[in-house]
Amino acid sequence: MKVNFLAIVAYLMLALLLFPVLMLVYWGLGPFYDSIGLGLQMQKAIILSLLGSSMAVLFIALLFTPLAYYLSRNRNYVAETLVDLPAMVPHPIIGIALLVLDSPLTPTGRFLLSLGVNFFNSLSGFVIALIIVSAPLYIKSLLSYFDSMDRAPEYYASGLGAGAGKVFLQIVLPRSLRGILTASLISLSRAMSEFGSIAIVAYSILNLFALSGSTAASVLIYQYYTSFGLKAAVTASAAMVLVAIPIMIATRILSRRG
Amino acid sequence: MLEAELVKKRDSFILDAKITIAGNGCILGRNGSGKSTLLNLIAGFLRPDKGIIKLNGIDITDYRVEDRKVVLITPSSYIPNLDVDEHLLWAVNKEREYLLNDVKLRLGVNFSGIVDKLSSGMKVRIAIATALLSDVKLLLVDEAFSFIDYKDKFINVVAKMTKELDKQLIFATQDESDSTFADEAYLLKDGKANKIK
Repeated sequence: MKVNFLAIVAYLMLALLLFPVLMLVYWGLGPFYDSIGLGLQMQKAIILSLLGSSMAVLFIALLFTPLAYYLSRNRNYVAETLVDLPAMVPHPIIGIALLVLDSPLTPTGRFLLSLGVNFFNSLSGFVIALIIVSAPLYIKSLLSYFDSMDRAPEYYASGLGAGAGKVFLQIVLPRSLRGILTASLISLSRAMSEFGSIAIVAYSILNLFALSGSTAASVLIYQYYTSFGLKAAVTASAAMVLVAIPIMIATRILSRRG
Repeated sequence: MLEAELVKKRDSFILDAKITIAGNGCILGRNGSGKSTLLNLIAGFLRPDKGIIKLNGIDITDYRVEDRKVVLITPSSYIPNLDVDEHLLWAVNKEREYLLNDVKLRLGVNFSGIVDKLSSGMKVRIAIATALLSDVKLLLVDEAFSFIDYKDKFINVVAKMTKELDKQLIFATQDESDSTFADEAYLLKDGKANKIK
């Protein structure tokens, strides 16, 4: 029998990548199980993370799909580098930037506060932080997808007199649903794992109906680690992993089906 | 009438061509002779390094693609998500809408369905029919006729209809016999255009 060494190495590397996560699930739900890690607070945190990440991805898809398309069709390396900036800086900086933007000490903050917009410990601050840190991955992923599309239909439509907006809406978008779904999946994963920026700007979300006073899962896991020690944090982490995996698999299947 | 005098350098290839075509025209040439580059320049998808493009006496060199009234048709030039009739009427000039059935009949568009699911030949028929019903003044067909069954008859019909509808057809091909359907023909070789008909 012929041995495919490349496949063996590839699967070994995959196992190496997954090993810490699998260990976490085993220890968190087995020997290190701590009921605090699966308690009501953690359940609310997971719901908040899912809700905030989904809202962020929805806004990202609405706001940044045209940007990804524009950058694909009009190469601008300066703009493409700037798109990466929020992903490249340490994420607490994004949280601090949002606090400055919305501070009563700055004109922008005074303006936003006069409109009743408050980022600090609010759902809007939480979602905006997730949008900023997750959008670069969405844009990059979708840009590659647009790059790979056959442009002949677009050329044909513009030759028939269609402007850029009509071409984008009627030719490009209907052919891009798979790319948008895949980019959204990548972006959703990124948003759900975010910690740095929300630990600064939205440590605890006030005034959100039944979720008032809740904290995002990543922040709560850190809280558990510092307050209750490793066991509660490991159990809570295992729960978060188990929630994330089915969502990723489901979306992956959807994106493959187009 | 198309008048074009164009220079375009792409890597080691230089296109330096001058063409004047009053009726329907044919650009003959082998792979790599510069046919597609020339058509893309005329359609506005490439910027010439130097030169001018005039369509019916109007300098369109700096016009945006959507304002040129020039459409480039390749085997992939179609709107994938539409059905046949939606496609044909997608860019229709309202004054020409009554010609829909005539155009369908003469171009052999006697099928239906979502365009993306149709054969290559059907897609080319639809792409050309859509262009004939639109405001476009110049149809540039790049090697797309080779996908059509009974190609000779089809080119003949398209050439006739473009004249009837006050449009112009210029098609690029490797098949010398196709030039019999054109009023004028140029042979493109190593980036240079020579009038042969």
